Amino acid sequence: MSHAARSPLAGYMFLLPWLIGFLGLTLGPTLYSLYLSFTSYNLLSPPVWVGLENYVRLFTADAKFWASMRVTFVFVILSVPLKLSFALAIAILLDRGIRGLPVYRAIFYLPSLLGGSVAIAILWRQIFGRNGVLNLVLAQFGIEGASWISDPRYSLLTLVALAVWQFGSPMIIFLAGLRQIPTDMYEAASMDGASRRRIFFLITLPLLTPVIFFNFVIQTIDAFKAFTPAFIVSNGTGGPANSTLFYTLYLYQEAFGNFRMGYAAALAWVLLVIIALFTAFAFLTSRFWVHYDE
Amino acid sequence: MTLPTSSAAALELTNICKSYGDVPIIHGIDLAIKPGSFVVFVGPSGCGKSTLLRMIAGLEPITSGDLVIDGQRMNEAPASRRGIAMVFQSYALYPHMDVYQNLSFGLETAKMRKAEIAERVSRAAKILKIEPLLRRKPRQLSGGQRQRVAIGRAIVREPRLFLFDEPLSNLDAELRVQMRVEISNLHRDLGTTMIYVTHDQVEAMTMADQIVVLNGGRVEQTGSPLDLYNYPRNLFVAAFIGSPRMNIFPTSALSEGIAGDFATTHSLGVRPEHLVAGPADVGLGSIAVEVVEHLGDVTILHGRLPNSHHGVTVTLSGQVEIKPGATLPIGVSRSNLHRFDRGGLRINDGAKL
Amino acid sequence: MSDQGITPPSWPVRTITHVLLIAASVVMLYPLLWMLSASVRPEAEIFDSGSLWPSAIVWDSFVAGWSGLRVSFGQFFLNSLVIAVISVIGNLMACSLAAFTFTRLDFPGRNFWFAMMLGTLMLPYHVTLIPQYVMFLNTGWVDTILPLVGPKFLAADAFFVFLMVQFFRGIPREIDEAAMMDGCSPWRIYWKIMLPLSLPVLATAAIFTFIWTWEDFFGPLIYLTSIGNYTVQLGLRSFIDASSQSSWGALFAMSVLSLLPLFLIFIIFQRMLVEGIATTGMKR
Repeated sequence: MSHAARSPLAGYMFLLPWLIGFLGLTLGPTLYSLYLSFTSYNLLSPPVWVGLENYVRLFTADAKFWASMRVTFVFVILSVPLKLSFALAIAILLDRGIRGLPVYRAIFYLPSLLGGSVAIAILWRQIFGRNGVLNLVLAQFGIEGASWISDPRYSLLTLVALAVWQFGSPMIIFLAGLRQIPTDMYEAASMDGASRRRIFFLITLPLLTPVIFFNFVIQTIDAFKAFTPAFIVSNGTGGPANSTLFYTLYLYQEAFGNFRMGYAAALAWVLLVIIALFTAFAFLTSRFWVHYDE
Repeated sequence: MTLPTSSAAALELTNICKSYGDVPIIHGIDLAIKPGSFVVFVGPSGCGKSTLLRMIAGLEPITSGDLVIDGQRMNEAPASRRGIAMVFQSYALYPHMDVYQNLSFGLETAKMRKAEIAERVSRAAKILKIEPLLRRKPRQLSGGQRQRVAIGRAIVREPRLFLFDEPLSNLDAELRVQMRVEISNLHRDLGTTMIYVTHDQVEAMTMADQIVVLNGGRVEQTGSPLDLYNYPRNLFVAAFIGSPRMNIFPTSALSEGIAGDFATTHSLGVRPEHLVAGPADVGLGSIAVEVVEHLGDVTILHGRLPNSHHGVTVTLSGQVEIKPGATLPIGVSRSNLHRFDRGGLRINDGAKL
Repeated sequence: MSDQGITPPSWPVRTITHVLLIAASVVMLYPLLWMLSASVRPEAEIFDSGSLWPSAIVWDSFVAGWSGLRVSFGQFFLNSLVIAVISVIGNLMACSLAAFTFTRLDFPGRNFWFAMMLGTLMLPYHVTLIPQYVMFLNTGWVDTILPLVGPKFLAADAFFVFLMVQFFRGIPREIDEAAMMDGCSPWRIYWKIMLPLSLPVLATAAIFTFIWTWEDFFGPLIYLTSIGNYTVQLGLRSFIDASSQSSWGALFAMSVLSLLPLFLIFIIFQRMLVEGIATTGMKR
């Protein structure tokens, strides 16, 4: 690069907006929230240092915290594998060189695009309500459906269904990944007389593992952060009986309902640690099952 | 523009060094380039020729040494203040601008008057015969046309020094020959000093006034094409210049009668085209022919020396009827022998160099 | 089972594939189509059947919904639009500048800051949420759009910086070196060379910023308190609170309207969206 472009001054002039944002909106707040997590703070009076009290209470004396952990983990464990399975299965069907690929792709992607909206959560609330569409359809077959949304046994499952319905974006990534597998690999394998099943398990799937890994990590982190559907479906309560009390919803209630900012900051840091541990674990185990070209 | 009468060098490099971190890439290069000359940097890939060019251009910082352009030290001057224009290997045309804008962009950056810009662009377009293309985008041009536009972008700036970084390597063989001639013509018409980097010794031989052979970040030899051909200073230059490459025989591979004549010599070099079939000053014995290549104007034989089985290449002029498996006595005129010592340096016979 | 390069599947396989895909498509689209039909059918009919076909098309729900709250939905749409458009502008400017800096300028500490930027990609926003809220509370920005759009001008969304870094890396260095030889300052290279060459990625970033800002619920929920400042998403939420079962039709009508801009963007820019996701591999 030229000398003008190399000068530290020019570099930092250009970096300035990002740098201010990074220090002022990300790094500073992150550290400050770590500090707050060791305090009691209600926005009105200054934070009071309480040491590990927030964390101790979280882990030993807070049933709602454990309820939210359970709800979130069940949601992650159910929704991520299901979502990825659908995404992969449909991507494989679409990659058969069939006609109408763009139309199918558009249809399957549309829910992902709209899915973050409040409107969709409202729709879900209706579909799975006592008088909802699902029960109308079931009634046609003579089945009397439950009130899915307001029954603690099913409420979380309706949100899992909502997440799985939005498999479109991992599907598109899978499709792109399938496209990248070089044609001559398939040709070489079929010259060797491999069956389609064998080709799938010995070529397609291994070569797709980096994409599977990427989707797995992204979708899992996203699932940990899910908020809007639970908020809308339960009117922000996490009910019935805490059955949709997602972790982020509990965090929101503590921070902006009860104004326990210190406690909420501790919740946020626990979430950060969970996500960091998950990511580290995923990357550490990836070398045993993810196939990388060099 | 450099005045042809100026006696000072157009470009002078003194002990130029370059390292990336602790890794030295260029080891102290000294070079003076006469105004108006066409200089070619040639060498194998990784020899540092492009790095050296980019240092002259101002695209790479110089670690140490002096870069003097027209008597001014320019080490720290930004690229645009050095009075240099460069033609890149990939052409690096601005894809979103048409040809006219590609040519005028640098002049606009320099805040030149519109009328003058138009005049310069049309002059350059005329020289390069790209006038009908001025409103086209680069992607609508053929490889050869893009090449011309890239050169045009250099011309409009009326630099005192042109740099070319392997500009023909993306063209097919036929177009390359044609552009070679055009660049030579352009140099003759403009009279501006040009530095041209290539790994292709044929380009170097055909275009240069002066060739600089680089290897491993060092200058192996500087001289006119024929100087390098006739008097290569060392084994590297001997092998690098000329095609097919020069035969190099360790004297130990030759029969005793001949080796005795060259007591101080470690190896002998003979260009394939200087080997003759039949009697000569120095007979090398009969080679066993293995492969015969008929090129029409010449016939190239690949064979082995009688005793040592050392490989040898012979270029015979014309179309010679000979089959693989034949044996052929070969020899060379004494004046066409190149002698090298143990260190690979040329041993001179009192002749030039 | 990916069959490019191998013989195409036989007709029974193709037929079964289409049947499966069409069945899946119906399941995928049914909820959306049902909502659309619910919004235009007579209120009384909504809970009568799962059929998609209304007995009559009436626009009562839209009329009722549009002014169903103290503040008209028109205001919410306007608020959402303002926030989304300003966010797009902020993201494009700040993220492209940061990406240019990371890919094209050379200065001490660059790699360190770049690594920091990558580190923030995975950071859950909850960690910065409370301090940011306290900060915006102290600056008096709560209940204005500033906490929602301001950070965009500081390239706070590392995802878009990363997206543009990936794109900029694909633009040959020789092009900006040529510009440098032509006498361009870094700013001029950024403005005259890099940005015009980056239109595809800028468009992708603009579309995703718009969609995500439009859909955003959490940010407005925290920062916008008075109803006159509400976005469409907040407006819908208030509608649930305010309305009884009897106004489901109006709720659906407004829901359909809230999805309409996203749907139009989807139709117009579908190819760009698909390519954007495929290359970046990102959520939604």
